[in-house]
Amino acid sequence: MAIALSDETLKKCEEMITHYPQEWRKAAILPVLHLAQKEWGYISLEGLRYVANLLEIPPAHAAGVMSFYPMFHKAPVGEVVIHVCGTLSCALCGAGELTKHLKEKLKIDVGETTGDGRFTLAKVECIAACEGAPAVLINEELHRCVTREKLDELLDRSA
Amino acid sequence: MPEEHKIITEGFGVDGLRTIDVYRAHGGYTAIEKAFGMSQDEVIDEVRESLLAGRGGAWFPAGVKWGFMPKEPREPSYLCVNADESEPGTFKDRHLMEQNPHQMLEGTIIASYAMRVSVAYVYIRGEMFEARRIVEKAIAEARAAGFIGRDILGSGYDLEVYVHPGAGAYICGEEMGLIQSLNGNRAEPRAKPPFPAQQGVFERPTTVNNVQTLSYVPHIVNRGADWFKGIGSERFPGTFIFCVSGHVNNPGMFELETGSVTMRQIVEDFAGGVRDGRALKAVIPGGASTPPMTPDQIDIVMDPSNFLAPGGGDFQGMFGTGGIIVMDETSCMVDALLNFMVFFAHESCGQCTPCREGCPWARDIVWRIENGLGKRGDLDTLLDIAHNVGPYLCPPSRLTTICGFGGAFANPIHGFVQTFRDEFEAHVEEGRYPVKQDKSTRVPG
Ligand SMILES: Cc1cc2nc3c(=O)[nH]c(=O)nc-3n(C[C@H](O)[C@H](O)[C@H](O)COP(=O)(O)O)c2cc1C
Ligand code: SF4
Ligand code: FES
Repeated sequence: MAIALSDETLKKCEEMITHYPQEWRKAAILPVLHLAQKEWGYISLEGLRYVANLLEIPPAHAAGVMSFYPMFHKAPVGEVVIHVCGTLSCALCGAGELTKHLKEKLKIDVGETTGDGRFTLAKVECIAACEGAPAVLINEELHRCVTREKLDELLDRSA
Repeated sequence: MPEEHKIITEGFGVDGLRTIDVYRAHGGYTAIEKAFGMSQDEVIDEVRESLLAGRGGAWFPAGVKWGFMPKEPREPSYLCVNADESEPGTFKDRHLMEQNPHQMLEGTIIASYAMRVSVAYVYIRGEMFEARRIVEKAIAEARAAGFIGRDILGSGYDLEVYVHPGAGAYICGEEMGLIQSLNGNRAEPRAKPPFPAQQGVFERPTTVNNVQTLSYVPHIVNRGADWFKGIGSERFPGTFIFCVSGHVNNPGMFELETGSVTMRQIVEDFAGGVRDGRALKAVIPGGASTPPMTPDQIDIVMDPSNFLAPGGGDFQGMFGTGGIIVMDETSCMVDALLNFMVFFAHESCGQCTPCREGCPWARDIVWRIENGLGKRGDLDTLLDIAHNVGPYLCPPSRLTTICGFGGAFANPIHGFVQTFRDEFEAHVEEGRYPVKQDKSTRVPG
């Protein structure tokens, strides 16, 4: 079956498109890609073509845009995506330790997903939470002043 | 000890401040009524006279910028609220949105009215999920209360406000990058002119303002330009939010009058000093794009006019975004620069050769030095890469790149290598510098 968005998501996309002038449907590409990724988990080539159609733009343009922005996945990721901030304030306060701990615990490298598809480990650049360094984003939730123990607890909870 | 002067962080922590009812109970949305009783140009004049300068980093006078917009627009024009906050070390805009979204919205509505724009877009960083939800809710509340939509307060003025989410690219904070991103393109900045006020979002007149800049606007309208001008320094009046992070006992945000405190007071008195009784080694004054300062330089009074950029001051450094990162004696300066260069190499949009090639090249050289593989001549190569994009701090400025990202990555290279040359050389000579680094996780408090 060809890929498609659910009616509910499609409705949200159409609503988004009304935020921009009629002749600028393409301006909705970031919000629409976010909505599509929420439903599909990632944006496949086929999915990208669907989004391009919806916005009435060449698929090549959509591909160019999507590949520019790190938040879009072109392959499946884990159910729980762990982004550890690695920029200076967090690095000074132990982000390296946390990453090392996660690599050992999950037995994967940064950028990889566990075999069971549960966890993806990723690095993110400063997420504007430096007062709470080291900061970690678990899916959409921000956690500040994260220690190994706190991290273990958070992962156990989401497991 | 000087105290905080809370204008835009006033009420932070009050229960429910982010809801319209509590905001109104604290005097919210009164400025809007006052502004709509004034002509559009009177509002612009008030803001111009207040000398409010942009808090996104460049300190350009807001009222002057607003005056560039067409007075009798023949096509729709736009305001973009720059909420892409991604300069390492900076976290004020997140709190301004999460704790008091209506204050920013009220400023946005007043600015929109003054500039006669028809739609305002709040461009929020993609990773700020919480801020996005909160601002979207606030917009819905403001619309229900009649502050957004058709014929606001019976004035005949129509305005829509929408959130536009980014998707994780630092360059979307640069104003042309933001505009390109909103247009549905890769966020590749284009050269100016034409300036945004002539050709911006959807090729139409556009102004980009930072979240913090707009958060001051309701207060200026309510209390007047003279009140604002009377606070802080003469040339850059008002307050500024300093964000302190790194090796300090009490990391956080402090709203202080410009020109009222020294960097030392911020680090020692407000942020509680260096943790574990250790000695201070370096302070990044305002985000990754600003060169580091040494302990003997931090008695400088924190006013933009004392810094070469933006104020043309004596101190050969940059004031920046208020993102202060403190490093104690266990920090390795080569490692710190490497951290920044990894960041910049990741974030370059890739259009200009000196930036696209220079960032990863510099990153790789610094990596070599840090890992004991540095060669004689590496430091000069690093400086050459930096100077080739003509950063502000080492004239003659060559400006070989389209946008300010060029200077943003070159300044820290120049600053770190210049200021800590001995440490860099020791790395090269000895294979690795014997700084005993401490990177353990320790939660403050
Ligand atoms: C590389 C680069 C990144 C920037 N990032 C931001 C940012 O994240 N947030 C911001 O408000 N301004 C940022 N700016 C500044 C904007 O280009 C612009 O000057 C500012 O948003 C204007 O608003 P203001 O006049 O209210 O300060 C950046 C500039 C450059 C060169
Ligand atoms: S300076 Fe760098 S970020 Fe800016 S336009 Fe050129 S390549 Fe892109
Ligand atoms: S450096 Fe990690 S949140 Fe800013």
